[in-house]
Amino acid sequence: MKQLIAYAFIAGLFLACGPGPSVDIAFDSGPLAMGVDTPMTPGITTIQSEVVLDLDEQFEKAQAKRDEVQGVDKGSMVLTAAEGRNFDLFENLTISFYSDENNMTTVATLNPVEKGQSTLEIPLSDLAEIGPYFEENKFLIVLDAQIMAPDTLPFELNAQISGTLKPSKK
Amino acid sequence: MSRLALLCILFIGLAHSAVAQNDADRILGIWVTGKGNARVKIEKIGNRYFGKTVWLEEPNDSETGKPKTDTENPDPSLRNMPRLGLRIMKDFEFSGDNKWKEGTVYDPENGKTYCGAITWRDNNTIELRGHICGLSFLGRSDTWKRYTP
Repeated sequence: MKQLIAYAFIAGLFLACGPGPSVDIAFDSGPLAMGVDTPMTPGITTIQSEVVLDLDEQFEKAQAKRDEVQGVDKGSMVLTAAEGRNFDLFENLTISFYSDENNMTTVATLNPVEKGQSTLEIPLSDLAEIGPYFEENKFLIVLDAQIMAPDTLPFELNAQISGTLKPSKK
Repeated sequence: MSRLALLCILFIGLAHSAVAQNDADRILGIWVTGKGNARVKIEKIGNRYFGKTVWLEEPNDSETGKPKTDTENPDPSLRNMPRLGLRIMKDFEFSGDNKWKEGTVYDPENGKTYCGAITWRDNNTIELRGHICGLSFLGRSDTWKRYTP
């Protein structure tokens, strides 16, 4: 009996210390412009864009803790090349998030990039710890692209991230 | 205080800040690893320093002839990326006294990430030390030379 009570106590302790119940908050960054420095030369090119997400109201409405995002469900990023261009120059892509408060985290990769595509939909890794980035109002998307051939024409693309945040309930 | 004195203080402050920035940024560029079998480009994003592999002596798998990939990455969804191009050094911050600290070093040979620090030796030499996070005595150092084409 004593043993049972001890187990129940330990289980209770785990439950009390673990993350509480979460709520769902859908988000969509909308298109974020990313400009690529030209001319592009073969090798790895790094492209950046700042993500600014004003989610305070949604957190308030959902009675969720702004500073306790446990994870992100069904996170994905869509990259769209400007009209008339496609991603044929890119052999592969690595996408990372980065902010003042959080170390850089690789969130997705694509290898190889299919030829003839002007839109790429890339799922974000389920294992990457993305939640903390959404506790801030802004962070950077860092895209490392392997360029195979030189290109002198201007290249612009949009990135759009979406998914469902899982913050703790207040 | 006279206007001249204020200007002097402002000038000295700006000059000091510029020197500190130069000190931090002198690490930028391409470096050759100790064994000479890889080159790593160190660049700056925000206020931190990152390094990615831009050259490998043996970029391809000797058996398949295809590019070596990041097969040991603990995240299976990231394993098919080529080792060439991997960002293996992340988040180093200049701490003064010829050191960049608080960074991480990823070893694609075993898929493990270590805590790291860089020490400036001279214009052409840096020392990278990687260790098990929290156990700084359990690690190893590698001396890198600046790449000159």
